[in-house]
Amino acid sequence: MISKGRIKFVFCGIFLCFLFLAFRLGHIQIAQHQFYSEKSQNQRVRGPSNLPQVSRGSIYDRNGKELAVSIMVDSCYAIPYKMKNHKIYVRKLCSILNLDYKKTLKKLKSHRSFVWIKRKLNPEIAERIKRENFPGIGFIKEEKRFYPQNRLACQVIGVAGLDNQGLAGIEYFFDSYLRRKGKKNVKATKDGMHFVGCDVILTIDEVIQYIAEKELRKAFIKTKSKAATIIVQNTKSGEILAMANYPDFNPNKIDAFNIKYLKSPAVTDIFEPGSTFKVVTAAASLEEGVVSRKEKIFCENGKYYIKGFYIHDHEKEDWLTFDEVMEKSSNIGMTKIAFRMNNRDFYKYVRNFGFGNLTGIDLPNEVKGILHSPTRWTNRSVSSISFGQEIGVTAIQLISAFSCIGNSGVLMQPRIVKSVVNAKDELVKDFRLVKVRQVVSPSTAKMMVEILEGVVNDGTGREAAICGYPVAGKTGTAQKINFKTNTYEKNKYIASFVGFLPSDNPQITILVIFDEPQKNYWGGVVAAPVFSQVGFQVMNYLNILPQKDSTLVFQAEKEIIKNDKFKGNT
Amino acid sequence: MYKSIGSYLQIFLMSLIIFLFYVWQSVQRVETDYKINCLEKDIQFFKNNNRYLKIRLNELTSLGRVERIARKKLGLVSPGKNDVIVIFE
Repeated sequence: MISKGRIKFVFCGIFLCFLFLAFRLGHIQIAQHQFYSEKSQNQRVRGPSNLPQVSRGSIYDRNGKELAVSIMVDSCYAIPYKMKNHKIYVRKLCSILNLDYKKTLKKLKSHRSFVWIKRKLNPEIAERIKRENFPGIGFIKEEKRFYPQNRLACQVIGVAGLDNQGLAGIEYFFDSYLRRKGKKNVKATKDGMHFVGCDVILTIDEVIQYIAEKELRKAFIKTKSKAATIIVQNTKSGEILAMANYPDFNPNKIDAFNIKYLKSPAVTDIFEPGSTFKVVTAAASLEEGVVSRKEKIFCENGKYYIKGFYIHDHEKEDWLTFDEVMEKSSNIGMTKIAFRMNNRDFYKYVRNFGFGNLTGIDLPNEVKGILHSPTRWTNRSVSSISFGQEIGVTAIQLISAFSCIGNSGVLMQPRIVKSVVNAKDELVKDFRLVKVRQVVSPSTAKMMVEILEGVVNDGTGREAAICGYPVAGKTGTAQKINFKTNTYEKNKYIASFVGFLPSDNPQITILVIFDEPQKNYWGGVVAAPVFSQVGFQVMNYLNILPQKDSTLVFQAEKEIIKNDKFKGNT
Repeated sequence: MYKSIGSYLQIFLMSLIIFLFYVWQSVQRVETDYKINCLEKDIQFFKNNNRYLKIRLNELTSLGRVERIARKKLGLVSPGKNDVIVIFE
């Protein structure tokens, strides 16, 4: 006989077990509900047929125009053993997808149970295949990166790879933001948690970028140059409004371009600036007070022997005022002025203008350029550097230095990204304007603006003039170095022009560079007209009116009175 | 006796009705869940489609294409530097 006490004991034991289980169940179901719910959803969304865990954020221009976006598209796969009479289907499939028939057939004859046919199809094409209802052919949703503006700003935006990883440009530099997971980036869907990366908003203006690219492309073809670069910058804030290089590529055709075009030469390539660099020497000498604008300098009739070497000018000049030295771009005059400065002071100004340092622009692989310290300078260095030789600069450094002159001597950090926002449009990172330093005094900067206006009005930069707008700028024509022989190439030049407008209240700075132009190599002939074309259109776009006393108004009035030829124009 | 059977029957019937109501509303809930699921998938599909169409719209209204059509198909020309009259106040 079992005693009542034992029965009670067993009953109590079982009761306590159930009580424990009920408690544990309650704990899991109520207290740990969130944890297990998320765990279960994460397991479910891992399959390829579901949404990816992180959707790549978009890239916009400053006005919210989409430059890079991601959408879900179909990727086509095959299960070979399910495809009977596959030769007929494959032929049809290959014609729709534009694939090589033999290669596809070979793939399908393999003993694999799963074969990719083509990934990330355009929706129209995927729809056509779906309608055919091929046996053994299936689709998996994957995310595809689209660049709606095609080639526009391709080197700035960069490109994302097949697995949505950034490979170049902003796509690479801001990859961690564009693919960022986080509580604020989550979108709950029926299929589980879906993260949407942050969006990056650039300072680039789509319209200015288009104008710059269009004009650069025209001139690039006309001059048969090896490469060309253009940058448009807001003179006062340092924001990059446009940045383009040729040759370029179409980021939507990732397998059809040369990988070397992926980089952004404006920040990764260095060159000797030539005469455009005279602005630095001139500003430094005015600031140091070693020269006055009215002072006359003897330019040795085009050939000057100093410290064991010769310097040449492209024109034979005798006595020139300081302003004229800049207007005529005399190497000899600039050398004589540079020699009046202490080497260390000259070096300090070059550094302060941002040369030999990273500008800190948010683009990958920026280089510092080449600027040796005065201890490594030879007899020739001061002279060479004074007119832009023996120094390597990047395009972004050069335009920033010019903007500094237009901005009353204040050097601003160039900025290409405005902000980063999350999926809920909340600010994640703000890129504020950064004032680097006051390089020269506002009075020196003002004098430099007047001198640079003279370069455009009466000097080598006349082709850069824009009717109705005062322009200040400087031409540059630099011989290229042969790095094998360490000598200057005879027929290879870099032609450039850099300036800002309207010079009485500078709004934009434009830099135009042509690498090895074939027909004519002078910066004032090759690059200055592009500056003028871009400058005029950008002024119109920004609604900056021409000045009242400009000849433009009167010319147009005369024309319109003479004939009514504007009808039908737009 | 009969009275107690009747009341048991009433309780049983009430329980049955409650049980059937419970089953019915469960079935309805599952069906509605399926419908919601399908509609959510449709919404996702249309959203994605809408996004793709917006991208296409962006492509088709890109400045390069608009200018190409304006120049080549419509024969329009851009105003020259001297074709502008600015009226100052």
